[in-house]
Amino acid sequence: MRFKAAEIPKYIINTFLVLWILFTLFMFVWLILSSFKSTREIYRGVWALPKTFKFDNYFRVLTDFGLLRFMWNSLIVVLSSTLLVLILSTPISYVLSKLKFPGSAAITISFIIGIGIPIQTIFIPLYLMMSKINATDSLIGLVWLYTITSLPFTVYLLIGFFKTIPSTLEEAAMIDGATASQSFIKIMLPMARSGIISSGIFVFVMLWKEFLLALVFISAESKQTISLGLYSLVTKLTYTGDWGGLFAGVVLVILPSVVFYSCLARKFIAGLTMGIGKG
Amino acid sequence: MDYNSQIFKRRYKSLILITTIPILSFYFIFMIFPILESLYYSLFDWSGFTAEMEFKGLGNYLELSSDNLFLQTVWNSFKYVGLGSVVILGITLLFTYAITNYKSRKLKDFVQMILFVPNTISPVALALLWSFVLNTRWGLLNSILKGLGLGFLARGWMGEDYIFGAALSLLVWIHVGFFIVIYLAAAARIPDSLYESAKIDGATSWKQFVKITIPLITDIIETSLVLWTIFSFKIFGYLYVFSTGGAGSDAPPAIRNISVQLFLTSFGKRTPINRLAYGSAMAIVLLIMLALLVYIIRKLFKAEVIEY
Repeated sequence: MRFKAAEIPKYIINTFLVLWILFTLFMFVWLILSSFKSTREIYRGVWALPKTFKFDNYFRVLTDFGLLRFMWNSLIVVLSSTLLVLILSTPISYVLSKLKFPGSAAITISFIIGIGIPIQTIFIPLYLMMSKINATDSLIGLVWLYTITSLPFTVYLLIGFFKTIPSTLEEAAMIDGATASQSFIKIMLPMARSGIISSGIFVFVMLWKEFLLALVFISAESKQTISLGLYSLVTKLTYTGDWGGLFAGVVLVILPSVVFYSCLARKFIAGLTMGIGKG
Repeated sequence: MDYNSQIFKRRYKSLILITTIPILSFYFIFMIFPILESLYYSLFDWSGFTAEMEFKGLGNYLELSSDNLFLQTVWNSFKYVGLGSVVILGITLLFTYAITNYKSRKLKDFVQMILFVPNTISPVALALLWSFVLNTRWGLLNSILKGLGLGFLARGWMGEDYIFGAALSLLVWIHVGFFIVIYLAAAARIPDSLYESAKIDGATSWKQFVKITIPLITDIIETSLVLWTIFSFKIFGYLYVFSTGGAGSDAPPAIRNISVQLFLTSFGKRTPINRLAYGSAMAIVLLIMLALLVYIIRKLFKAEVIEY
């Protein structure tokens, strides 16, 4: 390619982008390498490779510090909440996207406003409410909170998706005398499968990394989720100066998310941008 | 479908009732009603865990207006909004330009994926990772600077002078990846035909981007400004954990936004304050400021809506 002076912005921006990507990748490589080092080796500097690849750091945080337990808790809580959100939000999204009835627009708008409500503005009343019914420090309570707080955005995503599905088949079914719930279950659900899965993946990833609600509502160590568990590790490990262990902990939290995401990146991004397409 | 027809009414009425009423009631009980409750609590002097509640009207709000720590966190939130939107949205636009010019679909997907990755990771892990990178003694950044012979640029990034910039850089690194996904999706819906004549006229790719792409994604730029404003006020985990990597204490006031201050006031664990009513007043202030800012942004953009 010939160098053109007019395209200078292009070269500068591309260089910047390449450096950004390289820095990101390099940072993760450094993180993983460091997680195999002893704390003393970490102090020795970035460029020194670990002498031997010891997995001590990993075993220590997984078992002694209970990271495995936290992962299990997260898996249970996040899977249940994701399923519950989908079950609750799919039918209402279908109804709101396809049927016009008195109040339908107002309901849709109230959900969109809900996306913008910061949890911080409601966690005090929620805490008092949940402690009244003894649902604080409980994983079931956390499932419920995750479900409720994920509702608005999931409904928004699914409405956008249902709108892209043409209504012709449904109309035909109606003429053939199908009831409303029949045509929803037999016609719309199968056609909406990919959108529902995309939304589900999105909700799963977002809840897997959730920290604030867990921090407010969970205190018992046996019930901590992954983010909260890692946070409580920080205090313990920095107290003893165990940086190697902390690096391993961070890798163990990051790796599953990255692997899961990179396998499903297409679907994930499709889920996020479902509402942006025109029309 | 003719939704006013008799058939429609007969067939769909029960479906509508069954699907909307339960979800709507959950939604209102657990998300909307609590806002009103916050408003109510904010009028009392109350720790939240005792029976006695003393009505003090707007007393909490008056106290907020002279609470220097709180005012600092309000100022910080605005700093995150202002600096963040310039830096993040600026970089995102530049990257949108670079990536839309890639010929290979695979390369586009790969770059987008790497940029977005931080958004899928626990904020606790990211905040720790970033504090490792910026560690003065053995951090990656100072080591790279020294390796490049730029040792004189190495700093104590987590120290008082740089901590706000350090925290902001973490937010920038994460959110450029978030907004790029939205921008790229928006740029992809612009029909190619619009670029054809510009190409024939010999306009450079940069010129095409400035004259065609940016005007046509104005709605998305507005949306992202609104989103970033909301994020700046409600971001919590990154800021709450960021400095604990070394110090083992609460986030320093220099990087706290309202959200962090609100949490520390209501549920802070290291030094329990437990002023739930006072915290509720902060929540209401947060909500009002957010609503105002979002309103202003919408007003500013309303003047220039572009259709195509």
